[in-house]
Amino acid sequence: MMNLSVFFMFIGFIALSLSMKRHFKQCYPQMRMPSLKLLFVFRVGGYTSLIISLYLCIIAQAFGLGLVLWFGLLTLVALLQSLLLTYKPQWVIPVGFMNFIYIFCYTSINLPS
Amino acid sequence: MSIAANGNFRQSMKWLHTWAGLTVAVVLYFMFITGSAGYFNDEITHWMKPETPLINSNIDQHDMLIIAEKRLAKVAPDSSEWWVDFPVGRSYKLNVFWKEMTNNNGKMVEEWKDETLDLYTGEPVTIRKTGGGDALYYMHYALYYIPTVLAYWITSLCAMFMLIGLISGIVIHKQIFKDFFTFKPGKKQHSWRDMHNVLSVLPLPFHLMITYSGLLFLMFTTMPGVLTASYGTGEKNIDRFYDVIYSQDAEHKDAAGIPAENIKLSRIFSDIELRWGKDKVAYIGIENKGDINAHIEVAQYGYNGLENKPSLTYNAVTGELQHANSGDVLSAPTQFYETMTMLHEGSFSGPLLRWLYFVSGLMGAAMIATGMILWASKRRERADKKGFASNSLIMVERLNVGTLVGLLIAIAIYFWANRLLPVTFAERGNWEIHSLFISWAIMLAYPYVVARKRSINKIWVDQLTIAAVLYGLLPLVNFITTDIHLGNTLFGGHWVLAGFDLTMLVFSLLFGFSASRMSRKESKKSVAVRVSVSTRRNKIIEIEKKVQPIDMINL
Repeated sequence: MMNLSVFFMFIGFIALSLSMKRHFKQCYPQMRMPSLKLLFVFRVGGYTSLIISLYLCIIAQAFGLGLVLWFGLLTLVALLQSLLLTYKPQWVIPVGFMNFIYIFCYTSINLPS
Repeated sequence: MSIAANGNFRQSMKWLHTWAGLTVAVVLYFMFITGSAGYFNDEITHWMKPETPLINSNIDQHDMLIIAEKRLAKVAPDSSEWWVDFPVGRSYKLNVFWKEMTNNNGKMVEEWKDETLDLYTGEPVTIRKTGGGDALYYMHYALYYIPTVLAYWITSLCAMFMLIGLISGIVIHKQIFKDFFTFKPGKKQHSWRDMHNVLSVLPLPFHLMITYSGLLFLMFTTMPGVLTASYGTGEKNIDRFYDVIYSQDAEHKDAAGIPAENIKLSRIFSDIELRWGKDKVAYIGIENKGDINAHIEVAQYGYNGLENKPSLTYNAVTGELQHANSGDVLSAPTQFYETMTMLHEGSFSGPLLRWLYFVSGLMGAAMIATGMILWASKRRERADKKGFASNSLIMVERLNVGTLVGLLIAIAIYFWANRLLPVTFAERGNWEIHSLFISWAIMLAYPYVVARKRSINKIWVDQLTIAAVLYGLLPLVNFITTDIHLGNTLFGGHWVLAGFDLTMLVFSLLFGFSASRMSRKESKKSVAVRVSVSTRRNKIIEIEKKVQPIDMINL
């Protein structure tokens, strides 16, 4: 459950950075500027993903510990994302997809049981 | 009107942020670095006591207790209190403690003695004296060389300034969310500001929590007024207050003075294991030993959660259970205080969370460091435009190197001293710490004394290189002087000890990388200067002025 939480967190931060014009340009240099509506969708999706990760963190641990752990991981993942955006912006989208694939595989293996 | 007022407000907050931060930056940096190391105090202490017998998992707690009890019966048969600490979780050794009455100039004085036992022979082992990780942890709030109360006041004051710095920093930061991920390297002071922002904003929950709870820790020193207002003055009333805060244990009977036969500790152990399961005990002890009111105290080990740990109390004469504490019977204020202090210490953390704490703490130190560098680089840029750098700016620039890198070098020296000072040297524990502060003083003086003629950039490279070498060679020194080197720890699966050496190597790589980046910048600049000198000789003087400025952006 914890690792799932981290992956949701990562996706959340990637979506949030895509919702900012500056970072969107970094990740998609060739693309035309997206509509404000799309940016808004990214933002909502990002926050939702972060909330899901918080939920997962809390049900994986006790409430207090889950909260502390979530904040700690939040810092680390956000740092990772800002380093990625600074030095390897072209990796952001592939990393995001890898996260999605991981979550998909993990849930499809574990949830139905 | 509102715009002007707003502008003024932000300006004044900026002023506050700069000076609240800068005045205490050195102490705060020291507190953050040593405090971060303190999250691994037990692990560091273990590394610094290489004689400690390594624990193999095939001995269970019941066997250990039998060994410990045998030793205690031999060495302290008449003692009134025995305690046994088990190697469980972060604890790495089997320790026995006992109370001994010693004759001190005709007066009988209570004294605590302790021994670490070898699990195979049951005999105590001699372990070198060392401050260990606890000394670093202790330093981060009690400093060193000055009276404790004064130190508490200083650290509390610094924490207060830190809180002011954080709040004013949040106010003056125009776009916390918009600039959340923003870091643009290679742009001098702007890059420093970006870095300062990122290091402040990302771990902001940690920064706020650690500062606020740090203040709470020392509130009994700094705010005695609050306490006396509700409990009155005088030692007795203060004690009443501490009773409310700290007493969670059941009332224990005092010794009755009637001698009685006590049962063996190991006899009730099967009952404990029945209640809690195997290998769950943190410590077990007997109080008022040899008395009819003797009782046995057992506490469970656990790091999961913010709740208190369960404990058991047995009658030591009959062996029956007197009291079982499930662990959550705290009053609301106590609960709050306990939670805040536990959050500060991270005492409940498993390995992952402990590392997160450590990294967040280092990010806090880096936040202060970048703040100090930012202050200097802003003024340096202005000075370069004018073509004149004031003495105070040059002084601060040099002080920054000695403070920021110097402390890291000093901590490496602390570890070196642990390995190189003779084991038989009686004062070695103190001299480890002396060597820490002496080497820090040398590093602070270095830019003024040894390297007065060197450019500030070169001084950075010098000290970073020294740090890289010292940290990098530490595993080698460990290999030469002890048995707990990487060759044994990696293959023996002793991850705590191996982790220490590996972490030192990582630090070494980081410092080496920064040093090489900076020296490459330095050499690039001197090439550029040489070319321009040959083409435009008439501008030599102007260019030489430009060689001086520091440029540590791509650190």
